Amino acid sequence: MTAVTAGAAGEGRPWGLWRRQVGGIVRLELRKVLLSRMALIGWGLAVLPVLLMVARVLVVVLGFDVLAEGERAIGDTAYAEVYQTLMLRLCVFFGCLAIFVNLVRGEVYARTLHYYLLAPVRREVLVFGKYVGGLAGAALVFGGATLATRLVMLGGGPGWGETAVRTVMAGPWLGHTLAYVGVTLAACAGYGAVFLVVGLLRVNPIIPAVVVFAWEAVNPFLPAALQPMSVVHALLALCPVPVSLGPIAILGQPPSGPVAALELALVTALLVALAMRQARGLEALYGED
Amino acid sequence: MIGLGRRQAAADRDGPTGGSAGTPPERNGSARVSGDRSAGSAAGRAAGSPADDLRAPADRIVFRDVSRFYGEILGVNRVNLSLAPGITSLVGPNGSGKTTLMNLMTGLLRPTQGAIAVLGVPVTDAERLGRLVGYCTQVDSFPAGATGWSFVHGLLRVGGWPEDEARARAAAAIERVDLVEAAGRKVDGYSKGMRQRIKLAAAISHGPRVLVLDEPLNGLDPMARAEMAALFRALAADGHFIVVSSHILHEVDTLADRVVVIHHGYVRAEGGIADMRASLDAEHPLGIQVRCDRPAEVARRLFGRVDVVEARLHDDGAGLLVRTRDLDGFYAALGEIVLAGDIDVDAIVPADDDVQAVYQYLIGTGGEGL
Repeated sequence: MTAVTAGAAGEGRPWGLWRRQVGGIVRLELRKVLLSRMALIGWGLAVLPVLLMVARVLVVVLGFDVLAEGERAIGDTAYAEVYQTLMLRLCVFFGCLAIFVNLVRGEVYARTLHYYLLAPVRREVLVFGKYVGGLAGAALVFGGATLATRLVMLGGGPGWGETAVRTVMAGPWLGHTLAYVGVTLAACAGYGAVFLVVGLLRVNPIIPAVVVFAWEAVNPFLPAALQPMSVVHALLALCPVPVSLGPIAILGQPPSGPVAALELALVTALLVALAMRQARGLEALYGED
Repeated sequence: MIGLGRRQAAADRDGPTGGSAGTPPERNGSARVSGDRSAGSAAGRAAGSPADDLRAPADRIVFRDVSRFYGEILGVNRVNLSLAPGITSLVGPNGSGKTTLMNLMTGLLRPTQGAIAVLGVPVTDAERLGRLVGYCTQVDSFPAGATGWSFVHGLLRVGGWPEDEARARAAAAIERVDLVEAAGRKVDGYSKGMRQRIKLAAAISHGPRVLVLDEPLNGLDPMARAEMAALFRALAADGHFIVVSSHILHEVDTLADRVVVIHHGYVRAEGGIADMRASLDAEHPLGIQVRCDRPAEVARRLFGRVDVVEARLHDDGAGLLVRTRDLDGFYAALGEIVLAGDIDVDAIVPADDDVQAVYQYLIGTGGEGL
C-alpha cells in the first residue's frame, strides 16, 4: 500500500500529497457548492440576469410593442450596464458571499467541521482546498450564467437570427464574451477571497458583509486614492465596455487591464494567505460544547 | 526523560513502548488519587516544567498542565496525564470535561494553557497528528447527502490517499464495522447504531495508532457492543492507544486497563482500577460479600481480627458484608473458617472493587449522573 507521508527531512515540501489533498477537498466542496440546498442561493442569483435578458428578448420576439425600435437589440452598452450593476455588483457579490462564507462557517452550522479538522491535512492546505473548491463551483455557476446572458443578448433585434450569426462571426461579441467571462471569474476569485476571510472571523458574517458591500457600492464616489482599495475597481477596469457612473462619480485614472489584473491577483493572494494563516487556530466549536 | 513522575520513570526504564505488544501494560500500575483540587494541581506541578514539553516521549499521550476555558467557563483545569498504550477510560459525570479532554488531544480544541503531545507529536501539528489519531466523536452529524461509502472514502481522499488505496481502505474499514450492505445508502437513513459504526469506520480507516472514542457503544445493540469491545481489545493488544469515554461503568470495568476519573474539569484520579481502589482503602475499607448458612457465627469469628472494621448481616439471614483493611489477611482467616468445616460458605464476592465503587467514593455518586 502507498504510504502517505509528508516531507520527511530532506524530501522538501510534499507537493504531490498536498495536490491530492486539495483534489480531495475540491471534490467534496464542488458537490456542496453545486448540489446542496445552500447551492440554490447561488443558482438563483446566477439565473436572475439570464431571466431578465430572456424576458427582454421575449418582449421583442413575441411582438410586444413596448420598446422603441432602437432599443430592441441589446447593445454593448446596455449589456455592460446590466452586467456591471446586476451581475457583478449584486449576483456575483452575494453569490460569492453565500458560497465562500459557508466554506468554513457552513461546516460549523452543519456540525461537520471536525471531520475536516481530524483529517491528516495541514490547516493551510485545508483552507486553500476549500477556497479552490468554492472558486471552481462559483466559476461554473456564474461563468456559465455570464455566458448564458451573452448568448441571450444575441436575440432581440429584427432578423435576430441572421444578425446573431453576423455578430458572432464579425463583431466584437466573441472577444467581449471572453472578457466578461474572465471578469466574472476574477470577481469570483476576488470576492471569494474576501468572504473566505470573513467566514473565518468569529463574528456574525452579516456585519462585515454589509461593510464590504457598502464599500464596493460607494467606490466610484470615493477619493481617487481610495478607489483602488476594492475588488470592483479592478473588475470595472477589466470590463470591455465602460459604463457611465453618473455625474457625481469621482473619476480617477482607471488602471490599465494588466495592472488591474495584477492588483486583483495580488489582493486575492494576500487574502487567501491571510485565511490560511487564520486557519491555523481553527477549532471545532459548535456552540453548546 | 521529562519529569513525568515515578510511574512514567518506571515505564521508561522498562523500554520505549511502555509494555510489550499484546500485553496491555499498566494493568497493575500505580494509581494517583487527588483528594481535592489543590492536591491534583500539586501533583501536576510536581510532574515537570513547561520547558519539558519539547521532549515529550514518543510512546505516550502527554498532557502537561493543560487548561481549557470557554470564555469564563472552565472546561478542564491543570490536567497532567501520561497515557500508555492499552485502553484508557475517561469517567466522569456530564459536563465534567471528558469530551473537552478528547477534543484537546485530537487537536479539535487548543488548550488555553499548557501543552499536549501525542506520541511525541504536538497537537498543533494537524497533519502528523491526523495520521496518528482517529476520533469517533459524539457529534451525530454528517455531510449532507453523504452515503456511508462516500463519507469514509471522501475523508480518506481529503487525507491525500491515492484513489486505489482510498478505496481499499474504505472498503476494509466498512467491512470491519459490518456495514458493507448499507454502504451505498445515505447516512441520513441509518439507525443510530449504524451511524455510530460508520463514524467508527471513518476513525479507523487510515490505520491510526491512537483511537479516541467518545461514548462509542451508544446506540449499539448488545451483539454489536460485544463486537466493538472485542475490536477495541484487539487493537489495544496490538499496541494501539484506545481512549474511550463511557457512561456505562460496568463496561468500563471490563474494557479498560486504566481509568481517568474527571470531575468539574479536574482529574480526580488515574490508574488501574484495582490500584485506584487500593489507594482508597484507608477511607473506604474493602467490602466482601460472604454467602453462608451461619453469617452471625462468621461475623463473630472475623470480628476478632483488627483489620475487620464492619460486619453487616444480610436481611435474608444467608450472608454478610464484611469490611477489612487487610484483604490478604482477611482471605486467609476466611479460608480457615471454611476449612474448619462447621460453616457452609457458598460464595465470597468482592463488593466494591469495581470502577463504580471507585467512582462513588471519589465523586460521591454511584454513577447516576454520568
